[in-house]
Amino acid sequence: MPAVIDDDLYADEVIADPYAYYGWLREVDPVHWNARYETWVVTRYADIVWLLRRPELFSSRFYADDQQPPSPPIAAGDMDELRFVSRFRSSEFIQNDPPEHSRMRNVVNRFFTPGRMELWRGMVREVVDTLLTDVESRDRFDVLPDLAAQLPLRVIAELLGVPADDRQSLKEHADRRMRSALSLAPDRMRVAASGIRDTSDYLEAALDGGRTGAAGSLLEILHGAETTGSSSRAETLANAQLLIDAGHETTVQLICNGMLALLTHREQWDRLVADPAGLAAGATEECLRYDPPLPAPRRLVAQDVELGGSFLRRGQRVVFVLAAGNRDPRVFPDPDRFDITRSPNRHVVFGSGMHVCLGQYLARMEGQEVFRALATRMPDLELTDKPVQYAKVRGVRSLLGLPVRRQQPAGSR
Amino acid sequence: MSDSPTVRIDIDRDVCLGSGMCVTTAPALFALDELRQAVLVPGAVPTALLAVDGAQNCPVAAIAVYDPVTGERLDE
Repeated sequence: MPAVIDDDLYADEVIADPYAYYGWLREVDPVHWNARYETWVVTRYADIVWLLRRPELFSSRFYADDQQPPSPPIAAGDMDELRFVSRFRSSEFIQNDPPEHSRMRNVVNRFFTPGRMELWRGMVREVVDTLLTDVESRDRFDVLPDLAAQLPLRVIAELLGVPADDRQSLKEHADRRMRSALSLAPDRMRVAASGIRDTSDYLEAALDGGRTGAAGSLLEILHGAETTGSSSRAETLANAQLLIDAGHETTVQLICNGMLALLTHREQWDRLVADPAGLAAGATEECLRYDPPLPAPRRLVAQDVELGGSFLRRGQRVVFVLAAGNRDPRVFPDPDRFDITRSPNRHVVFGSGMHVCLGQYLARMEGQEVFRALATRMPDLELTDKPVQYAKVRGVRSLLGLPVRRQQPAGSR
Repeated sequence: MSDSPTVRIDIDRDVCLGSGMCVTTAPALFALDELRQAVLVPGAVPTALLAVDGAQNCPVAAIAVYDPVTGERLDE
């Protein structure tokens, strides 16, 4: 199996189904040097958790400190664009180590507590209901554009304090910033830079014009930290865009990958249909574990270190494959089985340690509301015969579409 | 473990994100409540070793550990 895929992390076969490759690595070479992309690939649960909890050994300052040329290469004329993107993104809190990381993240930490997130559940539910009403009478629709691309965008726009009319343009910028930046195409830095510049222009005008949405919005909080001098304008712009991207793209994938898993495992879907309110939370956790939105984030080795018998040198790149850790048989019995009642379910999809996902309660809430509502209102939902395809990108497990059909649409009953 | 002195622990629910890092680090001492926020396991002995471990692994510094006598902060 391994020789067939030529150790190419981003080969079409691996993008279509990465689990065989990840699983082989995890069992045969759990701390693997991938020469093709010049990166370590860590695939065992215990090793992933160990490295995530040692920010002094594994730095998050990827954009600031990575000294190696982009892999695969970018267009020769785009080095200035690469420097622009790297400088801009190095102000994101997720791209920082202690103590800067804590200072920057503290600005928004309190916004994302479970208690405060619960105050938004009604809004999330309302948006889901509206979106489902729009597609309910159709015998076919596509989960990606009709539902998954809509909900997280609306929710994060509400949280930020962005007017409804501006949502679509912000989404278009975010797509350039995220999706294109994660592609393997040589022009990816140029496209990403244009997305960053357009959102920065928009945000600068909003901040300077006092348009930061309702009291307590994320934009107001970020702007407030800038006013008191605890963060810079560059940090405000970078972290606002980080929150848009992290709050949006990842949840799109949770909804798509989750619905694909649920509808592929019909008996699990039928269980959810029988008790949507009771099983939506467990289903969300299992969808996250089984096919994570961000399967393989990265770090930089900050100090020479031995891990699993391999010697990692300062400055080298490390990909830690959460998706492989989530199926580690040392932690999860029968790990390739999709089971919405799996308990305990200690997946590492939100990471571990100090960088653990800030928006995890929000992501869970959106997943729970979508899966609950779909199982309640459209129990007859099924996949079409059309095979699904994934975008050729790294870092995000991104379906190009998820067409579904109804056996009995609302109008025909 | 029995050599570790007992301590006073404050969990700031206004900050706790529900990441469960404290629970993963020190399951004998920390648990998550129904809102996914950190609480102390009922009846658990709050030893310095477990408490400081949990506090230092909190991504949002929601857990503070103090010496019950001197009031000295122990987890920083």
